[in-house]
Amino acid sequence: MTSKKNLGEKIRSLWEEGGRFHKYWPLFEAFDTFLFSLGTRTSRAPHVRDSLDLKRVMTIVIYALVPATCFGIYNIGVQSRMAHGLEPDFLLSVWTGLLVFVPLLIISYGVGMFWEIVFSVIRREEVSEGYLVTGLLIPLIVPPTIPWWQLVVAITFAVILGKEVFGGTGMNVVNPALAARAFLFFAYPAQISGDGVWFKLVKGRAVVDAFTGATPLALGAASKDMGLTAADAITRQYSFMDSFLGFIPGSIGETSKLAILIGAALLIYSGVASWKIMVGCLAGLCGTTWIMNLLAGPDSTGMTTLSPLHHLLLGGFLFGVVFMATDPVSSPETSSGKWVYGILIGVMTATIRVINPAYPEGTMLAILLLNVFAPLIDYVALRINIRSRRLRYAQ
Amino acid sequence: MAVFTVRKGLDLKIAGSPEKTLSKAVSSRFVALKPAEFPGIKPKLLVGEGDAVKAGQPLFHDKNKPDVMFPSPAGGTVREIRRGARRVITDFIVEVDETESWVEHESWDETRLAQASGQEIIDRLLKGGMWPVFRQRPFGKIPDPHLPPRSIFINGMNTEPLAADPDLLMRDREKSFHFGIRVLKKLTQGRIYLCLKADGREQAFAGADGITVHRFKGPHPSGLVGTHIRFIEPLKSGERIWFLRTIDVADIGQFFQTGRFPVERIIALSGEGVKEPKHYRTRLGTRASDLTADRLENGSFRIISGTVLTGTEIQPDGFLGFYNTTCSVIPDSSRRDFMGWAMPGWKKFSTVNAYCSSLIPRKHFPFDTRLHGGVRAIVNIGAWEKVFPLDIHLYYLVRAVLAGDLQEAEALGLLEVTEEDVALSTFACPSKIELGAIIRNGLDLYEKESI
Repeated sequence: MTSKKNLGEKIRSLWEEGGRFHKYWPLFEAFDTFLFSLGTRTSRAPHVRDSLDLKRVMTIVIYALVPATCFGIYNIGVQSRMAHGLEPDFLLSVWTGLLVFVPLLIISYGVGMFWEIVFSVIRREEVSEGYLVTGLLIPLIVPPTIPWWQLVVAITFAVILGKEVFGGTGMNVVNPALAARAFLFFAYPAQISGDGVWFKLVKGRAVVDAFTGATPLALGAASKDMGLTAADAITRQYSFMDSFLGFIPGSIGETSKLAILIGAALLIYSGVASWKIMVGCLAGLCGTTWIMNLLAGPDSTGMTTLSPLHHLLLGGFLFGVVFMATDPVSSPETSSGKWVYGILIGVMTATIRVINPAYPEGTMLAILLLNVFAPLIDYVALRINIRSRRLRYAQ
Repeated sequence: MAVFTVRKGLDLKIAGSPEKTLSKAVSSRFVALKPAEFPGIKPKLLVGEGDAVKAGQPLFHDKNKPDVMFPSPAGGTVREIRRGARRVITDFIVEVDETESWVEHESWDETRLAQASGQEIIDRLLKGGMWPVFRQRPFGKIPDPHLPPRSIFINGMNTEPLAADPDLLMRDREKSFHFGIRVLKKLTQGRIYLCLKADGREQAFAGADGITVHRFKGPHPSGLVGTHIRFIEPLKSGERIWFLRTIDVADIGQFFQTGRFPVERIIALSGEGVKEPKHYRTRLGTRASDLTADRLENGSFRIISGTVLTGTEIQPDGFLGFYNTTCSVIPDSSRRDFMGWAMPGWKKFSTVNAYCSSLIPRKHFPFDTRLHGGVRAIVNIGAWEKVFPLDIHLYYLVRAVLAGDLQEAEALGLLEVTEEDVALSTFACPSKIELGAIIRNGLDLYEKESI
């Protein structure tokens, strides 16, 4: 035991002040505190502190992402096998999924952590835990066919220009994972949208006759031209239950609403993510689509007729709401601001999905837009607070 | 009377609450006054090492307000004037004589008090060394005797963890308390508020005429003066209030009645490190080692003059503070847990339900002196607000102070808080930000710039 401890001290001294690798101290610190929690003591009142630290906060979010990740891996295989007309055998599906997902995960953490450590070393700061969650989110919000090199470029863009230029975790304006996705969306639209990207197909193997490759929302968007309501166009291929459980094509983590709800329950119970934002988002989306349904009238076709429930079950809305809109750094700090922010995300998503002909899905753009507006929302909430205080002073 | 309910807050489930019994007296051969615990005071010595002093005789006064005197807690000899970093005086140590002599002031009765003017009373409080029991909001410092307050708040609560029981501290002191109230009435044209806990039985104090009684229920900080002011009568721009505790009022009454500076204190010795946590009768500024002798468990502990939320760490040969009625002894630890971030954490306490410990109700959690994490940029998951009942946007207040934007900070409520009001938020912060230090820094800057 003692010799083990001595070896530990010896290794440690290499990285400490005066040691050979002191320049890379953040790297050692990150690894060291990964293994053992920090033993630092309080130097002033309060003398006792909450056991919660940022590592634990991020860990909770990762735990919450586990169900969606596991199902996502399985579903990659299921979708691929069904497109080829094969039985969705469980083990083979998981195997196919792992072959797709694990490289994406390795790329994501490898590239992201590389940049995090580079910036920590430059800034002489401890490595922040922010990327732990971002690194898992990114592979979950891309299609399974995303080219690896594009992912590398997107992550580099997101970490450097989405976060580090603002000062790192805690200072960023937009959610870094969404920044990565937005980069892919606008730089390489062919690989992240349309009908060709949602199924991992094996080259040379035949696909089933009816295979279109379209996501449910894409079917909905096209329904008007076919003279159908969006719901009819979608349910011809995907039942409500499939949409809820997640047996539909889409970005890897977004398809299973059940898995996402399990994660949401953990986030809300633990208090790590704001339920106000989640409820606000749902209210915004349901309210807006309900009004659109009413305005559309009985005999209309196309997306305006799609019910709020369908909107919730399809696309990346629920995933975005639970895991990305609630990012504490890029969402408003004030309680009233959280409500406004959430509702507006819902409204914007519905508007883009229904009214904009170019994009079948609007969650990402809605969240990014409201990320940018979050400081403004807070500003208004603060002015109201300041005004009420001034009125109190003036009495 | 009104009953106010504080909803946001937290009563720490920490082991070692003091029994509500008073044990035999603890005597100390050495007692001390600690200039550093009076914020904003620049001490100017009035006696030197080796000088003989009487109990109640001023040891030092404030350079900026020379009439604010700080009295010796005992009659004897000034044994040592300890200095810390940058020659700041940390302890003014007096060795207690067996035959103590006292500074004797005239003892007053009701009629004498009725004839006295406000100025006469202030002069007597200043001269007798009683003035430091008053503190003012904003800033939480000893007030300027020449600037009268809007109102006076008397605090009969102590909701901090492991704190002394205010009822026990006030036992048999009704007469002094009522005399003290009459003294206070001469100091202000405004109201005098008495804040008590909702389920308290202190009817004797509530009966004092001419004061307004309000009751508070809910978790800490329902017993902090900052909370009381905000709920009862918020501060307006340019206003100030004075505040003190029920025991201070009784001390003032006793001082006027007997003519002697009251040096007796009741201290709760509490915390996990104490064998039998209870209250002890002792003297102001008593030495920690005399209080803790033979009363501690074996192990490594931190001794805190005050509570775990707002107290000051002292060494065993250090002394208890002027305002402290609690001496907390908690385990000192720097243990490192293996992969603590991933483990279930059955015994770890958190204000948010981040550990499995939240699934099972527990009476106590093992609290020690660890920070539990590295200092990070602020990532606000709502932990600060969860335990903070005032209508202040703490995140933006802290940001404004850090940016040096004092005008914005004031608009956001800087003057309504001191470090004790944000202690729970500091406790709960996952990024381990020292909110108390930031707020105190902001208050100091504000004061400096407004002169």
